[in-house]
Amino acid sequence: MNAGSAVARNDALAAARGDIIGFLDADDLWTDRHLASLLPMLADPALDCARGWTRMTALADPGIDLGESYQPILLGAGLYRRSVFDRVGGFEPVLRAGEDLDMAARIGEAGVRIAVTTEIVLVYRRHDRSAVAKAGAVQRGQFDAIRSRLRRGGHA
Amino acid sequence: MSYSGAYRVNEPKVVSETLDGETIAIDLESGSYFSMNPAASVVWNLILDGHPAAAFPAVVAARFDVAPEDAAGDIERFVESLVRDRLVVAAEPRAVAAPVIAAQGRAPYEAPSVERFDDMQELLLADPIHDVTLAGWPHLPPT
Repeated sequence: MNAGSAVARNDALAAARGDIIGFLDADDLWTDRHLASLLPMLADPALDCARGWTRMTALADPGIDLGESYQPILLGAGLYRRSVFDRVGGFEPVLRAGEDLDMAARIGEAGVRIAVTTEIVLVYRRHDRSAVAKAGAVQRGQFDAIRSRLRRGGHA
Repeated sequence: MSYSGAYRVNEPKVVSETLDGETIAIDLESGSYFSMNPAASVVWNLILDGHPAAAFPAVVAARFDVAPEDAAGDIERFVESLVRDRLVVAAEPRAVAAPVIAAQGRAPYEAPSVERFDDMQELLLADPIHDVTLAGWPHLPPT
């Protein structure tokens, strides 16, 4: 049992030295367009985050096409200025799951300036033993992220 | 209550969890989420367990500092709002036994209430985890 993905992501943020942060989780793939399409977008100093679209497939059979879409929760589908995390804080380790959903919500609330390209920048490979395969765990993550959202308050 | 039957939670489109007296429900089709206070959570869990609506006031009165006849109207309005938001639908009672009337301390009463939030719709709908079938996911336009 490790300390969980929130702690791992915070450790990585602490260790990173660059001004632009990218994430790549186990089993996910950046496409060859990831840096090529997202990095130039951040040349615009008015932007804090660049996101692309995600293609979902199955780890067991990459030929299975589960569609392409905009998945703002998947951290691997974006590049973020380090200043984003200075502003909104790190990942929330007390969450049982859903630290990525929680972060996406906080980034939205903080008014982080985001640009989106429809280019495919991430391949999300689902397999039955991945951390998210159990729908129950994912649902818990959603409940956790929602409770965290309600504690922050300030709904419009 | 005007309706003598029971209700069921509108599964699978609605999922819920009760923690520390607060229930969160998510409408997976709309991405809306709902927060229910302690009295509402008691009623919600009675619905989940398939108890008839007629049993709700006595259970609420046993858990909170309120008379059943005073709670009945609040409960009816609460359930009506659940029906309006399609979180629950009318159904036949399914519970095999009467609800347990707990002999524990009664908490201060606040009328059951549910609050709806739409600020995380995009994120909840986009969560790729929902779509574990080969049908693909909902396509969201970039915003």
